[in-house]
Amino acid sequence: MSSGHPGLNRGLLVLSGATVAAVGTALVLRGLRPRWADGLGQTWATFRESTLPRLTATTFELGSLSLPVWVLVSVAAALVLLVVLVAFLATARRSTTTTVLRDSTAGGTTSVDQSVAEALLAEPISRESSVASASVRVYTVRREPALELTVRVRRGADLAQVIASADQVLRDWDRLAGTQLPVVLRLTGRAALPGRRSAQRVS
Amino acid sequence: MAADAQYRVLLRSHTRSARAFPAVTVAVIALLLTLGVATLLVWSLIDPPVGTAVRDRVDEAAGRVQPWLQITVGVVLVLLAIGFVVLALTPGRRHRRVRITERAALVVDDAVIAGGVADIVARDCGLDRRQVSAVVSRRNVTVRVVPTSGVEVDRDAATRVASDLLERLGFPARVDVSVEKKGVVA
Repeated sequence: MSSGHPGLNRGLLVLSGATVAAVGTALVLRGLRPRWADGLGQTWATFRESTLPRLTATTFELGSLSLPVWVLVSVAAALVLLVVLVAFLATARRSTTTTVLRDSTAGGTTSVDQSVAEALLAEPISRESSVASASVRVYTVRREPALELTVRVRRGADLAQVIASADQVLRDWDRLAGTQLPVVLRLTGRAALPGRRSAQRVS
Repeated sequence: MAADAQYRVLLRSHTRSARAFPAVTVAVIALLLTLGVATLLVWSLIDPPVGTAVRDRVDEAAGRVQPWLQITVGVVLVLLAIGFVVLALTPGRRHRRVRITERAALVVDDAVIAGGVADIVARDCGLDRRQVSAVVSRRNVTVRVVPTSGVEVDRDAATRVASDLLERLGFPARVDVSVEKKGVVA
């Protein structure tokens, strides 16, 4: 599941909303040309005819080249915006990892892969008759791993039994792993993710 | 504790929409527009007449656009902007219930709970599953029962069994059972 940082997402929506609203309002006023907006129109016309030419006439001499300052500033601003947007898009997905546990000792490093968590958590759960499929994802939250065990239940499933079975499987995992990782147990009815399918087919 | 903080972050993403899809869509469009503008600006640095030609074309096109089209596009943009702000400011509650068990954070889709409630009410009342439907809303669970003609449905028993299930799952809620006046033929 992609999520990124909710605050940044919502902040971007507010900023873009404000920008789009400003452009839209300007277009509406330009089309309607109401009397009360005459002052605005005058200000804009004055800006275009006197201030703008002065601003755009300023140049930066680089050897034999005469570069308009406003273009240089605009290119710099566009580059900064591009970097910000690329950084935003790069962090838009929730950080996942394939390493569930890593233990470094003097003798070496032991790491447990996500596939092990799949085999020990998703597979036993998917064997339940009430379960259509199960899958495991590993996320990093505040730089620490956390597991999400998604269980897709069949219609007519005994939910309390599914939760109890998942609880047992998690306790078995804790014993094997020697530690308790934060786990989100998600029960859903929809096909959320391709995962381990139950071997049982219920008509 | 560190684990509590992790659970808080994880559960927040399960109960509130992060608005990732609209934000990423806006970011991609902004990226493409910025790339286009930056390309034009750099091109105008390398070849100054290009900048003048583009400006003249834009001025000419802007002058030709009919007022009604400007107003229509402007209104559409303002409505879009309102949509963005509404998306940003509304919580975007996901239809799920969450609680912390002894071992894990449990997240259950409302639809799954509704299905479980409908199943148990149908079983307890001896009805076909298609005769019972349930809806889980923020504070209560509404169960609708279409009885079999000539067979009375014990509304209190249905309410009790639904409430028991919700208690066992750890999501207690008020249960409202309504029995349709018209039944179906067995």
